[in-house]
Amino acid sequence: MMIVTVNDRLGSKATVPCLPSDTVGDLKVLVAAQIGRAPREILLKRQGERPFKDFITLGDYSIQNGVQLDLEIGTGD
Amino acid sequence: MADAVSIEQNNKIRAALGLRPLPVPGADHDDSDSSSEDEDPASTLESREAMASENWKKMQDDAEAKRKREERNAAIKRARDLAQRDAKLEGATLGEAGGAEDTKSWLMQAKKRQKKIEKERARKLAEELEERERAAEYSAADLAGIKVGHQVGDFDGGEDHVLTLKDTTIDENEEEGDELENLDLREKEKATERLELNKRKLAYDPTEENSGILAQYDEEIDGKKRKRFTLDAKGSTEEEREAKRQEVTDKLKKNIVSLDFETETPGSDYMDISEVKIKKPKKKKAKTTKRRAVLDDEDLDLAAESAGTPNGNAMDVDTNNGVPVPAPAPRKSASGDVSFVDDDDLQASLTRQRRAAFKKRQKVRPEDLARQLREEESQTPMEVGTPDGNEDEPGLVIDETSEFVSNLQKPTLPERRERETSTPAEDSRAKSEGPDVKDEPEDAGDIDMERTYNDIEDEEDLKERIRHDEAQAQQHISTTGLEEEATLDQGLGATLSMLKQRGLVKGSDAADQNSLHRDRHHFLQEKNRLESEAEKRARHQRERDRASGKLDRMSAREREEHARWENKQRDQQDARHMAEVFNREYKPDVQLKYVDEYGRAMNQKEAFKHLSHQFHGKGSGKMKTEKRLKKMEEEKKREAMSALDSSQHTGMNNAMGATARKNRQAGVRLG
Repeated sequence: MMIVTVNDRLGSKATVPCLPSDTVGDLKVLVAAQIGRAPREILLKRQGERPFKDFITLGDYSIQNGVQLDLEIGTGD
Repeated sequence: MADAVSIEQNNKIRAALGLRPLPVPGADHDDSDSSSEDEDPASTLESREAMASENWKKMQDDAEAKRKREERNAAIKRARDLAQRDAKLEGATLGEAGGAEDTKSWLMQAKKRQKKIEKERARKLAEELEERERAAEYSAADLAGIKVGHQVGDFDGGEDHVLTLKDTTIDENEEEGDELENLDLREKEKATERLELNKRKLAYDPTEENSGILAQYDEEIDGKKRKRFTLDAKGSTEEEREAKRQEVTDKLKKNIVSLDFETETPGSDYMDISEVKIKKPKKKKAKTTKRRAVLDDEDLDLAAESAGTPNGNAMDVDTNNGVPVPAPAPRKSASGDVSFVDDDDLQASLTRQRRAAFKKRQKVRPEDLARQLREEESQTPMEVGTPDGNEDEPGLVIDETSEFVSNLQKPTLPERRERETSTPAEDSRAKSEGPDVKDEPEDAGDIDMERTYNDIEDEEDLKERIRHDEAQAQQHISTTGLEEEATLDQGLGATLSMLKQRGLVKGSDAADQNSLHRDRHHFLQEKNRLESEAEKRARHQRERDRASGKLDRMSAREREEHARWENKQRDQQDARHMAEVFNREYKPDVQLKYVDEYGRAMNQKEAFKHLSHQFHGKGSGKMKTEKRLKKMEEEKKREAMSALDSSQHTGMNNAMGATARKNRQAGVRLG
């Protein structure tokens, strides 16, 4: 289990416990439950990198415990 | 942060999403134990201990194996080093060698050893020498094909020159190969070149041979011409060899004998300049009457003229000779001479050529020889004319052709003959004066002659001489190779040809005009024929009418009416017919000719001006009129001028004359 912090630096910040085997889409749903925004409007990425794709697991993105991800508004595609 | 409550909430969400629940920290141990037991069978204490001991043993074994391996490696290395050291110490050492033999034997062998060493040294020396020799055998043969960057002439005979390899870049060397040069000579060349450049020469020197106008750029275009020669194996230069080869081929070429048959080249009509010997023609002075009296048959012209002196009458001369028309004979023979014997030089050269051709033929047929002889015989007397002055005597008959030619000239002669009978000399003068004057002085001359011959005997000589000279001069003109100037006394054809020659009458396309003329004539004839036919037909019809009594039944008025009607009918028919023929056959030849007040034919431009002036009732001003008149006069003058006149205003030289006059340059064109 690991804890991932999602922050958009505009006031919305969420810490989400999850497993490395979860996909990015799952994480988005978990984040959506916390910040009250539709999961398809969420875009997650590491700072300075391309946005994560929904079907790839967090482990594959080598996201570990205590990592902070950037939260941005996604267009849903 | 992530406490159990929040994890549990999270797990709910995850369960709703269908995800694996997160492990809750509180229930962690139980879960992990059960799961670890399942996963790892050797997690019990004993098994762990067993595993640990095994691990330890394994570690020990590994360490042992490692140590052994290192040991082995070290032993191998040591053994190798030892072997290497022993390899260097092979053979007997100093101590061992010395210890092996005793002194006596060493002494015994010392000589041998000495010899051996000596031998070895000699061999080495020989080898070395050989090698050195091989190196020293760098001879002229090695220099074959090497270029030398100087001219052969640059190397003076007496001195030694040391040639070194030229200093070039690698690229140049690849391109051109090795080149030798002498530093001193190179320096000298450079110095002379610099001097040349400083001289500031003209770019184009017309006196220099074989150089184009832009020769100064040759160096820039083709690159600098380098003087160089190539050495060959014998030390001589290839250029020398080339020259020698050229020499040999030249020598060989000289002796070439052609096996072709010799083609017969006809001898040139002109003598080679080297052969020409200009003989100054001796002035034939008609010296004195005395001489002429003695040599009657010397010159016929002279004879005819001088004959008057003693006899005093031209008519007497005629009778003296006893031939009906004797005086023309000399003239005729003279003109006959012209065609065969032009002058001495030409005749001589012709004879020479004939002789050469004759020699070439080699086969001498007797009749040929005879003819040749006769020819040569006959030519010599002919130069002075036929001696007896009788034209019937064929002194100059060569063959049928000449006979034919002389016959051809006959018809023009009789008119002249009459004139000549009276005074040959006078005639010659008359001839130069022209045809118009001819008739008049004939009679006058007759009278004159009679008087002079009778009265003034002293002046006769002088006159005679003058006349003779004149006659000679005239003859010379006729023999210059140009044709004699045409005169108007030979009939209409000759006149026409003369005018044509001078360009005063344009030769029209006679054939076209002829055909046109014929057509027109034909058309007129046809027309006449048709008219007469129609007339005849009309007459027939009238007669038929009269015979049928048709007219009898009519009154006079009716008859008149009928006749008129018929005439009208007939006229109409004829007219229609004529129109048809006209359309079919008539070809009009339209010529607009304008003639001015002087009778000259005007060209289009002039005619336009003339008409314009007439229309406006006002001509050109005084200046223009004068100019025009002057132009006309000049034209007339030019037309009257002789075609052979070499002065500047004749047809051919007109342009030149005009420019010369414009430039105010005086001069006469010769030839």
